[in-house]
Amino acid sequence: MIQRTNWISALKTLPFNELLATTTELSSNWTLRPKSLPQSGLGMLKIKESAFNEKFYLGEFCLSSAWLEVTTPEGLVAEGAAQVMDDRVELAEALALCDAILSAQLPGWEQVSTMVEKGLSLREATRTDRKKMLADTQVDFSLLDDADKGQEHVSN
Amino acid sequence: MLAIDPSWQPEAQQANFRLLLDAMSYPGKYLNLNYVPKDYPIALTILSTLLDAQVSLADPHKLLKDEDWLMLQTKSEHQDNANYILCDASQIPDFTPKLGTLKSPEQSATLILVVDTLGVGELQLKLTGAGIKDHKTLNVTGMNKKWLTMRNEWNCSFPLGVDFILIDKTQIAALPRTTKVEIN
Amino acid sequence: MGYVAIKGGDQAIEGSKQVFDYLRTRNNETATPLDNNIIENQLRLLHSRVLSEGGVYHPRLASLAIKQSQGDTLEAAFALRAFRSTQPRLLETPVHDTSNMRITRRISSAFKDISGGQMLGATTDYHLRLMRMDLLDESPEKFRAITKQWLEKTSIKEIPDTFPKVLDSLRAEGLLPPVEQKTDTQSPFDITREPLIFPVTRSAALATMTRAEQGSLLAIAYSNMRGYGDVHPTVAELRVGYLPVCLPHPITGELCEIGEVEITECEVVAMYEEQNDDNNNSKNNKPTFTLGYGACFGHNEVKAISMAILDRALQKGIKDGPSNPSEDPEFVLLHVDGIDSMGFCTHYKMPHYVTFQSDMDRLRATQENSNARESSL
Repeated sequence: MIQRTNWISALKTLPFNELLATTTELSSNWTLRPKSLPQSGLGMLKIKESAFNEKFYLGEFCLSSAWLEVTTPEGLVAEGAAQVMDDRVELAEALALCDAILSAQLPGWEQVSTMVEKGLSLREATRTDRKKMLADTQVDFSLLDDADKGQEHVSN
Repeated sequence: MLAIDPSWQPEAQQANFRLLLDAMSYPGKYLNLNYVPKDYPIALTILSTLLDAQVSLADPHKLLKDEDWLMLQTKSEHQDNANYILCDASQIPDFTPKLGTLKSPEQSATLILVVDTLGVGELQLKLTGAGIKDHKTLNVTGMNKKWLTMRNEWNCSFPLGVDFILIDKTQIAALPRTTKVEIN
Repeated sequence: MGYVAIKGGDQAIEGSKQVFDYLRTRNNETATPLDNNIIENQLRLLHSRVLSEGGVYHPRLASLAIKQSQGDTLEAAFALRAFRSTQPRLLETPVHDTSNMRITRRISSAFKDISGGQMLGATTDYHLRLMRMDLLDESPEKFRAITKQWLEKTSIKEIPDTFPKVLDSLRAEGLLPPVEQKTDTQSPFDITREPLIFPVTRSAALATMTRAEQGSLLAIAYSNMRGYGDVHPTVAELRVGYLPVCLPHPITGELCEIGEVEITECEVVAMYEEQNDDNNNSKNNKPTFTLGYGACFGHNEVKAISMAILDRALQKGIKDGPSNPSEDPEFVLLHVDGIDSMGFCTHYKMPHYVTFQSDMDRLRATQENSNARESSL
């Protein structure tokens, strides 16, 4: 099973409608109760700069969060929470529901697991794309060295 | 997808905020809450209007449950340092809240006192000051007199001091630091 | 003289809004509205600029801002900033280390061989600045063929996930000032909450410059490069890539990736100097290189480099006293914000009728006085 810490980043790559359709269908006769107020707002990104390792705020990003408790008709109770870089609180709620479904293996969890796998492969495609950008443009200094035979080079 | 009690929704929050402004503008005026939450104590609905992640709350008398804190999404702080303090008015105050500084008198605490009933009661307060024509009488049940003694001490170096919001099961009233309170 | 009440402007204002939108949509019969994807992808670098100057990483709304302002970067950044001011601040992230960036471009001017290699990525650095006339008549088929062709070419090189910082190797050699393992719990300065009151901390300067208007930052940095300054920088490393943003899971507390932001980051190495302690006495340590750092949202290299140069210039100005504008924190930090500067400039277009009326009255009085004096001589 894929690690819980990767579920959000995988699921958010899927089209929102697809995610919402599945979560709505699975939870149709469940009781959902908010444990924390679902919110949509901003997070402030704090980074460490690499010259002196000092912290500073790079800027804000849109953030939505949700934390809920699920009770199924069979009496199963599970908790799920999610924070996501998006301005739609509905997305955070859907992701929190997926978090509950997968972590407690509620009925229908296999569908959510399949979605996570799909998300992961989409992420892998992006990763490959970026690596290709790097691979295609990597400077091969050895060719340069061949051309300047006999000259001394100062390397680092 | 998630059903949220109306008292947490923007419309109720904005209505409550207006109510609080009205209460502060006319000290001693009793104001009825528009949205009385079904499953939450009224204190929570006032707190949710006032609080966010950037301010802090103290709950020295343990009036809130853990799950209430999750809903409020605010910072928990000791009563000596908190921006807001939720208090059981029947208990005796045993702390010193933040009173502000001369440069920033607003950096002081707002106390939310949960009383039994507003408008009725053995404790009768005579109020004078800004926002009050001549004087106003405020009756309250379930409030220990010591709060008013302490209030006088805390507010003696005006503009430093604290502001009170009194709440019962359906109403609020406010005693900002500009109000002079005498016990009849 | 009484105040001139201004009436009758409502209709004109309403009309001007309509004219503005008319100019946006006026075209021949084949005009189609811009969609977000077009702006985000085909105007990628403009989009990056607005993201950075707006101060909030919201790609969809940055595209919208560009669309509604008809390409005016100052107005677009303004719209994005205004939007952010309506949003509640939910939290601040734990400290993020940019070594975790998913790189798309990485170069060094200081060194030829860097660990992991130099990868040019997508850059205009080597373009011949010739007009690509073939793009005037770009058909959808030709457009799509470009992506198809690129994806078909497969690469077999092994590229690592992350790359070490070039500065780390310089540091290992003792050529850089040592980094204190700060256990400071003090928060960085939040320019969205507090005004700048000088002297300000470095975190305030960095936060101000990261959302500064690109042109003004470049102009002041350029003045330093040209000699109104003494930085003489070399780019140790310039990176462009995606930084994963992680927050602790509310239930388990473990860090989860919640999204990623594209950033550009630059470290410059500048002239070396002796290290002094806090009382400006020589520490008798070896002299080391001085450093400047720049980083911003989006892909914006000119901004990151300018910011790094100014970071170094400001450090020098704070330590030794500014000897030119680019070293003066008040000069730099108060004049680089696009919303502040365009706002002030724009306000001159607002009615100043009363002010000016009083100027005219005073001039007439002065002229009369000087006429009276002349005639009495």
